[in-house]
Amino acid sequence: MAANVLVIIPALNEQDSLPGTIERLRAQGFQNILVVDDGSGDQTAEQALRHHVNLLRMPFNTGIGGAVSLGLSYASRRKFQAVLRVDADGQHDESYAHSVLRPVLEGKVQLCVGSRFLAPLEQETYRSSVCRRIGIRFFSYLITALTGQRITDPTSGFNAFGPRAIALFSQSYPEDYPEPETIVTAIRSGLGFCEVPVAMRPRQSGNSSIRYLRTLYYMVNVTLAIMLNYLRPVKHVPSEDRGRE
Amino acid sequence: MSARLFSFMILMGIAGLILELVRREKLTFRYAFGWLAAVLGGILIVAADQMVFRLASWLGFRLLSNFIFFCCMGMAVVLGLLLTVLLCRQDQRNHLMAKKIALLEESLRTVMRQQKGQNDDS
Repeated sequence: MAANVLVIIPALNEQDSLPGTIERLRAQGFQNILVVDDGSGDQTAEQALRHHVNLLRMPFNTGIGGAVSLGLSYASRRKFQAVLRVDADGQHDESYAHSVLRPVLEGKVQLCVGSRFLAPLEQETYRSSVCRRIGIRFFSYLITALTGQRITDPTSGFNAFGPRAIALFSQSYPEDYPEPETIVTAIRSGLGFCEVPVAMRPRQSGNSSIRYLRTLYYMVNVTLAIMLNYLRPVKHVPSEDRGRE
Repeated sequence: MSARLFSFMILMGIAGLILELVRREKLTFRYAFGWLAAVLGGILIVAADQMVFRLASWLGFRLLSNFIFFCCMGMAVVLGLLLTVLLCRQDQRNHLMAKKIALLEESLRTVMRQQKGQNDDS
């Protein structure tokens, strides 16, 4: 199943948690693993090379959107059938990786998101802070109202992309806090989107970048990005463009 | 010294400074253009002050100084916005370059690994 699947791990200063994430992905049968080091100041890149995975090293920090976009460009060039995006901080439980990939590999949708808030796992998963849950709920309502499709976890980075989504997002991927806007773009482009239940763990090291005043910036930024997305023309990816960059 | 002459001298000084920065290659003409256009606008205001008086009162300004201050603020906002657009474009280009560098570096690493493998075999 994992033969033509590329796992992208965007990483910024994750030298402590990255080896564990790679090992757990290998244990799930994933051989094509790509670490995108987004300008880390620690030994993240060296850890990736030590664990014999593919490495793309940004000369400076470009943000999560830049790192994921680069990984998708790599997948597009190498004609991967699907991409799984997993965070390097160990929050995503790799045992659900195949569940997230399945709808994409079966060709049902082009973007599948692992959701913490879907039954039957919503009680088992790690619960983030109240403030964060309020933000997630707000974006859920906003995107559901705009797209007409029910979304429960729009900020989840545990995503699987199909070939048409790879072709689209390798060309243009949202820069700052990209997850909610990616879902909106995928739905508007008719790529097909679904969520599957996943459990998540607390991050194993480091701190989230969305704290203090950045929370306010995040809320305003993402809300505006979602609204402005509707003022842009819909991006269509013909099915014959599969995997082309 | 009259206010007009003083304003004219200040504007010429600014124009001279901009041109000197261009001459020293600290500023390219492309980016100096907006500032030179602003100086030219200032010189036109100094030269045709009666017209500016009339325009200010037509727009409802009681004092000419308020009108000129308003114009300067507006110009600063427009120039600032233009510079931000240029900065964003530069940022996008930097990101694109960073991605190309990362992809090339990975390709190079792959080629070197293959080369090493061939050397080990032979």
